Amino acid sequence: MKHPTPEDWMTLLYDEATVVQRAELQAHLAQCPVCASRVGAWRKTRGVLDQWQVAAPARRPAATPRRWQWAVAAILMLGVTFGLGRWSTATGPDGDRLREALRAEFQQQLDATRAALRAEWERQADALALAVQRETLAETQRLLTDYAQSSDERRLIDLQTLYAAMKQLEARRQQDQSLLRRELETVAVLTENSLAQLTGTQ
Amino acid sequence: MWRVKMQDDAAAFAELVARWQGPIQRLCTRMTGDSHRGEDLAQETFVRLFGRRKDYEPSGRLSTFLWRIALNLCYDELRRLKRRPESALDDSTSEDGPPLLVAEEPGPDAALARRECAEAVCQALLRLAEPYRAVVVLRHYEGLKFREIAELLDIPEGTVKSRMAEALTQLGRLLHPVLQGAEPTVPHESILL
Repeated sequence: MKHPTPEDWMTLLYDEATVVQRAELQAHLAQCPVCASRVGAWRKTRGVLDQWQVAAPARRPAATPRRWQWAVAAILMLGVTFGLGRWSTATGPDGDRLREALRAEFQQQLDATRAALRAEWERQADALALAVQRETLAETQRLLTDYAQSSDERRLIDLQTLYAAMKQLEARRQQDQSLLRRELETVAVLTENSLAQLTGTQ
Repeated sequence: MWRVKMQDDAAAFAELVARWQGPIQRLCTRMTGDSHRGEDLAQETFVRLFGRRKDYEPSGRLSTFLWRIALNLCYDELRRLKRRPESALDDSTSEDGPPLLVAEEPGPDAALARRECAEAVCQALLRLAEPYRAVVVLRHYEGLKFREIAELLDIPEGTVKSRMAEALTQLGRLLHPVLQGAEPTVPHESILL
């Protein structure tokens, strides 16, 4: 008895078999205890796999706060500072002193935020400049390579053209030379004939 | 994705994330055995997707593009973890609690038994070699067709099916105590490939 391959059984197990395939596999399964045991084991394992379900985990705070989180924190701090300032003006006996202290603190935080933002901008500007520099360098190298390649190609074409022209000139020269030779020979023969006639008449 | 690629459309990207975050996070969790790591890897997947939006060809399937990014990130993470044995996969579950969700049971004993079973399945999967684990996660848990997995992993469909069969055989061996209804004891030595 020829047993179906494990690949065939997988298509049955995961409902990807065609109707004909399915019928054949099930017919085989009904009469082959070896395959029935094997497929049964796979089915049981499949069933157990479903026991593990993954839950979407609860959101957790990020390990490093992002820039926008710093911005939100700064805004909140400003709000709290402002609120405290207002409250202390209205109710506290030492309102001016408290306001002064809060103003100093506010200024300090503002400076720190500004410095952090400036540092971040500078870092990004540096990174951008570096990236542009690298890109430009790569582009220049590419252009130089292209130029060298096209220049070589142009030189080769020029040489080939020159060679062809010289070959053509040489052929024409040889042709002219043979023509001239033939004409000279004709002239020589004619001259000789003329001389012979003159000698004969005298 | 076309809108994201051509117009950097943030709203379209948000829609895309909302649609795919769950499946990608589940894939990463099952590949690493750690739900928080899975969450981080899913986020990283979308960051990569946005970064590589210009590489996306509309003729190809977005899902394939996305699964491939996620899977490669999982492989990188698993390689990194192997290089740092002090943060092995087993430790992650004990630190933050295992990434398990089991159905509610009437009694605490039954709930405990189901939890142990889920834990055994998780550990058994982690002991599979990565190529086998990826096939099991994509086919069994995420419901991709064998043909889709073959396209995603760039291997013949027959290979995917044979890996699935081999993975189920190995899992059956690893989960034998659970299948027999006994106390799950997954062997700790690496016995697979």
